[in-house]
Amino acid sequence: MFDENEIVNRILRNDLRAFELLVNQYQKLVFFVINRLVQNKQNKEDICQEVFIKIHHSLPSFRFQSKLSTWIARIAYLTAVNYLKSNKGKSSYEYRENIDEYHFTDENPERELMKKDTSLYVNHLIEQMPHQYKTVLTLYHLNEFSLTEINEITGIPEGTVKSYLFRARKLLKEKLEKDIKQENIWKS
Amino acid sequence: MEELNDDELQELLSQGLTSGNKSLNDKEAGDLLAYQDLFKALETAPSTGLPLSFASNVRRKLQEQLNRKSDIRFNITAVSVFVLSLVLGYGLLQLISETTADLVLNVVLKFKWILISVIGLFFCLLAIEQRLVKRDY
Repeated sequence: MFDENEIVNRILRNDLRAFELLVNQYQKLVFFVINRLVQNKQNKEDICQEVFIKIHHSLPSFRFQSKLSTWIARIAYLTAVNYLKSNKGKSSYEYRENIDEYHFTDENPERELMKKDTSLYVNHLIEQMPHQYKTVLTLYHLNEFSLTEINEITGIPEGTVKSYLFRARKLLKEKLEKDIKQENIWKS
Repeated sequence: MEELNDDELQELLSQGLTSGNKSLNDKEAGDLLAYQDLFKALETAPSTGLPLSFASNVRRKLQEQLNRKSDIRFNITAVSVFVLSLVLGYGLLQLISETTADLVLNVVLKFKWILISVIGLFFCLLAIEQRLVKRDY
């Protein structure tokens, strides 16, 4: 079993094998966050590596005041946000100002093909959403963090996290329903 | 009975209520089913991921960074020890024999460029060796 305390203590004693175990344990968590927020496929692995190097450098300051997974997710989230800020214009980061008025754009042929696989299509829709929506959806559904933990990770107030989560899911559900209706019209 | 709105339906689903619940009307049941499908899709992990060697790649990168740091520390210490031993040697020689000390200093000053070049070359070779050497991680 993975014992957080023991692993952290071993890493602090410069045991790189223990660090490799930590990477293995949390690489999915980090990848889910980075994968959702960073669009550039080639940079994802490099950013994930950067996150773990940061984790190693910052580990002496970790005081077990929160869960290790929450602390790691926070580093991953902040690294991704910094990347988005430094690549502003190439990403959807600019949606931040008018997040409440967000709506999906019109169809394109590529999207039509994706609709056959709901999960793939949902992921495609999420990719276009503002990064706050992407973050809460990923942390809540994929990483299974609670609203309180998402507040710790992102610094977004718990009430706002809840409202983003509900609104993002409502937008997705309405979009999927609209697509199904349209598909039925075309078929008939 | 008042109809449940989207937020309430999502809340119910988060609490584990399934679409088989009898107390919901047709529209609510349909919405709940749509949300259930959406939740399932949201919980599906992406098909792509990190390579299997990711953890060992991170470890290797970290080891390289740590080695570079320790090499820099070693080089700075080596230069400091070398300069200090020269100063100390000259000081001791001054105490033993002032004439010999001056003679040595004159020789050192006369061949200063050769000595500087040799020392510079030594540290360059050391730095190159540190960069080129293959380490087992």
